[in-house]
Amino acid sequence: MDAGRYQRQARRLGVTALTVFIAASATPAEAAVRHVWVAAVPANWNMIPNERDGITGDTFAPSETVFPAVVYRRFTKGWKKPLRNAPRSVVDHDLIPGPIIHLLVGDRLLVHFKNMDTTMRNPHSMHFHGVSYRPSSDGAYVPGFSGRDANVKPGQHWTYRLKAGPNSAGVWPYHDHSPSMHHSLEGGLWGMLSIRGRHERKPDREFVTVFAPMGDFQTINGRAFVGNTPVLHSMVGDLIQWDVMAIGSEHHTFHVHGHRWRTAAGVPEDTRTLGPAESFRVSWREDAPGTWLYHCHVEQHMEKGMIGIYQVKR
Amino acid sequence: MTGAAAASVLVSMLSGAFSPAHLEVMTGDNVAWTNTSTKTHNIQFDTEGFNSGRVEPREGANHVFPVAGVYPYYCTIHNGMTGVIGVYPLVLEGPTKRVRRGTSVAFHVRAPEGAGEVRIEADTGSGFATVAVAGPAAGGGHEGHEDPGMVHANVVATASATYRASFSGGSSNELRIEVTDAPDITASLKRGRRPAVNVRANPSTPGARVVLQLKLRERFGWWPVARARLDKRSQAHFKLRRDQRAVPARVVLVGPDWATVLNESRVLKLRH
Repeated sequence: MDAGRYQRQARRLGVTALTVFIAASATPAEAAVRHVWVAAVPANWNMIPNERDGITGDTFAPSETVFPAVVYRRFTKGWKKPLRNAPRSVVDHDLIPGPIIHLLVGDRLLVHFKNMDTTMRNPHSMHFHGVSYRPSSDGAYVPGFSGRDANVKPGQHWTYRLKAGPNSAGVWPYHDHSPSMHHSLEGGLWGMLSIRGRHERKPDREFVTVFAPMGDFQTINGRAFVGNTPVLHSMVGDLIQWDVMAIGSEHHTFHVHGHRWRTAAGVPEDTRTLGPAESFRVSWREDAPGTWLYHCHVEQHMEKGMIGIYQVKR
Repeated sequence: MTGAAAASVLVSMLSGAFSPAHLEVMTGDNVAWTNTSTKTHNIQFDTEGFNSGRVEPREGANHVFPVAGVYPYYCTIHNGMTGVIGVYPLVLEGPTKRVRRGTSVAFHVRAPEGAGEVRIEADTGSGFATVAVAGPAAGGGHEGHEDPGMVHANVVATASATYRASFSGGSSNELRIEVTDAPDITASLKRGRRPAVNVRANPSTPGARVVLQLKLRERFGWWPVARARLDKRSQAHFKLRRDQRAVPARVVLVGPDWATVLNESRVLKLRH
């Protein structure tokens, strides 16, 4: 997209977004156009900041746990200023996963993506599951077929135009699908869309948990072992929602201690399997105070760090 | 007991932990546990055959350790509530953090009366060798008071080493002391309405990377909460959020990966 055409489109969409926002204020059922500014940025990522497995007492030196990653980061308009990827109430640490993007069914989404990978200088892209779009917003590299959306070079940018269609309610992955995808995915270049039905209630607490192998470890949100993985908090009475996703080439079983939820068919469950790029949400009304474990129940994955704690207060 | 240095050493029983969990005492010392929590605990030594019975809140228990050895124990009521008492004929005390290369390190040794010559030995990788002889007036004594059971020695630290004290009756616990070439980090607490941690490096190191860490139970150890580069005066300031003010804090100097610790400040107690 040339700069002039891009600016004209941005102006037009800005006006559209404002119009829709005013309309949405009056009648909440109206669809909105949401703009999200994201960049792929380099980050020195530490999988185990406390340097230990808090359960076995095993220790790890930073030389084993820090690696140069490229991650999605939320920015203000025009990529002027970096922002937190999610409020502290959603994730307690930042950068992996990328920004949680909230939509309502029917919303349009414009993701303005810039490649700021100045260290490895790889191409990157964003490819979204769960939403509708034209091939020019697919972000998936196919030589001879795909366009610049799938191969955004360092310093360049692209706007992905997406729609949360009628079948989009749920949580969905987005991730790099450029020529550097396989390397980038192991380094955490992924995030989640969280799309609510127009009449669905907003949860009081939403926990994003992404199960992915990284190097020698099995991580949740890029961190391994209790204390490093997200420490999640809620209060009795809260409506809890877990957004769960797997990235990589392995299957995981999501398990939370002391709790059960129901499947769509109404069957109680406390462990659910998910494979690569699968995602689901589970919810419940919290009624079990205490400190609980949540983890992948594939035992080799637990032993390599795929485990965390969840604290419920009265 | 052989000398004047026999003592009673205190351990607190918290709601789910012994504090300190690891303790080094001298042969013949009494260990006194006090239940400072609101829960009932007990103390079970499988090796010693000692069980305290129920220890209610504000009550305590005592046990004397006449024989050197390492004695693990636990509370049979609270899973994971464990401790270790190490019993040695000498007890070596020294720095608990890294020291700068060339620093004169003060060691203090609790020794039985009439122990004779007490040597400080160091192992840098090729076995223990004597590096100093401890004495009552070696210049490294605890400031302000004399303890007849203590002897002291100063050793210039030139390399990372494991230290112990030895005499004719055996050896002490071992202390690992890492030597660093990184500058010393001084952290101090600025109290008031907007508390902050002020950081300085000596010698002056503008641009050095420093990380504020808090010791958080839910994080199972030291947890990085903020990072900064030292300014041209070799200083940095970390503002503390309201929820960051009631836990131990320290500042570490780190390498280019923002994770490898090169040196650390002393631990600050932020509770007012």
